[in-house]
Amino acid sequence: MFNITLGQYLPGNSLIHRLDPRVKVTLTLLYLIALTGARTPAAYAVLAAWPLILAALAGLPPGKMLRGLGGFTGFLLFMIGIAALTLPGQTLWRAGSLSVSREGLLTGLIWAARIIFFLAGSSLLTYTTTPIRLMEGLAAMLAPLRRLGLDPGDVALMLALALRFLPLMTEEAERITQAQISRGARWDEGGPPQRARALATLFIPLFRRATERAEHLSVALMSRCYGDGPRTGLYPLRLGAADFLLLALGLAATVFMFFA
Amino acid sequence: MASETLLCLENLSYVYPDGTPALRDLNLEIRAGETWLVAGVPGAGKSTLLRHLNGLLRPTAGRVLLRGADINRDKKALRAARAAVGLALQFPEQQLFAPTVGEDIAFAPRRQGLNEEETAERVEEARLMADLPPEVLPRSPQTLSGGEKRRAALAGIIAARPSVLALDEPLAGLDPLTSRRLLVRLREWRDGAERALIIVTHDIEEAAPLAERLLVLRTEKTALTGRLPQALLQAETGLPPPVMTRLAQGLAARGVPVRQDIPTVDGMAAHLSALFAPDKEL
Repeated sequence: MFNITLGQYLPGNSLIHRLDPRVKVTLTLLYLIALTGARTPAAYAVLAAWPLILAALAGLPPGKMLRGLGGFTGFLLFMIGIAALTLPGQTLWRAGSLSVSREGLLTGLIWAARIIFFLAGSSLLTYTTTPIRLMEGLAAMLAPLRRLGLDPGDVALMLALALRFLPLMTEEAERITQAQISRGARWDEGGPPQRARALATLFIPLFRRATERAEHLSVALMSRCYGDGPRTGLYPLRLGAADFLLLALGLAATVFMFFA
Repeated sequence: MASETLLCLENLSYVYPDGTPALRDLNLEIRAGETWLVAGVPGAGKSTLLRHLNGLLRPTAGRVLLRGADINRDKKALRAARAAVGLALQFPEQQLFAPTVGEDIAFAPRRQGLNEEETAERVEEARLMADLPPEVLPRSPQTLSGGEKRRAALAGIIAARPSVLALDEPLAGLDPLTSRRLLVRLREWRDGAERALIIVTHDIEEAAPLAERLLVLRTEKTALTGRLPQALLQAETGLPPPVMTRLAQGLAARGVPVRQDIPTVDGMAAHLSALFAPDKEL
């Protein structure tokens, strides 16, 4: 039902996959800035070409990307409809008190295009970057947080661990469900109060296991010297020629948006 | 006298949805009064096998018969199997959920629609079988020791009064004394009526004296079955040779003429004391 692939990682070893995560985060931010500056058809052409070129370089399956956007079709159509019906301008079509204006339709289409560009641009980042690399990149970029007394490494680790806990919790829930079914538990019977009570047999052990796991994890992290000094990555972030090249191209394209 | 066949596996095969084969063409007959030990390297399909015994998993091919009836035939048969086959997954104590031990043990009998009196009776029966003192019943499961939690969780399964008890690593993480006592209790449970016990364990030697049959699941090959304790001596099981066999080999290498075919500690003790009795010449 929800065929939305935003946030997924699609493994690969392309130039784009190997780019420094900081560069990819920066390029994504630049793209979002560029979106706001586009005015002319030439600028929109560059906006459309940007994710297409990067996706091709990353070797991403186009079908998968399109399906990922497909989940938003209803929302986009609704938005175009609202704009076309409510914004004033030259009337194209009228039925009773409803009228579609040319300017409204155009504005709606531009909004929809911007949202598609926004989704395509930001999903490129998660499609081509592992959660760990993304966290390392964010940690490096969040370094100024240190001035506020927050450790950027801690913030990044917390995000990475939260992502890692999701599949573990799913596994655990499955194990507990099977054990309780073996003892005669049924989740498909009775009214809402009975069902809610039945769910307690799942959630109580599930949450207890989650806190136990978190506690064991914190002990394990501490016994491996977590927090005793600055942390370094196994694969240190290093900017290469490709990183600088794409960063320069991205900057040039962004500047072009505002002056084209 | 042949005792009743409780569970029968016919050409059971299972392939995980991702294509990994776990069980291949397994045939097995489990009779009342038998205790089976299940061994095999990690990944050989031991836990997968147990999940088939009460229908948590459906075989890819083949059938599981409970007293002659296919447990996957319809919903009713499946429910009967869930009630008749008590299954404890690894670390069952992680699944305790009720505020008190007594409530947790009472879960299955209540689900079976028993009244308060009958439920209390079942709880008491299961408590005794699991070797728990009466004062733990009103306590929270979280205040129990590791061994007590394990036994409380097993009591919760025994309370459903199954005919077959299938346990995945029930001894894992228990101290040797507790694990021995638990095995003895389980054996007593099995002797109580027309029941069978199936235990997946890495501690085959420890459990062997209390069991009759051995099933060894092997990756890439068909499973082996054998009669205990002699089966411990078969090299093709791939299990490490029993400690007593290694002892006998060591003694033989030093010129002491001891038998090489006694796998159990008790058997070897009897043999050695006969050999070294003071009234006997070496």
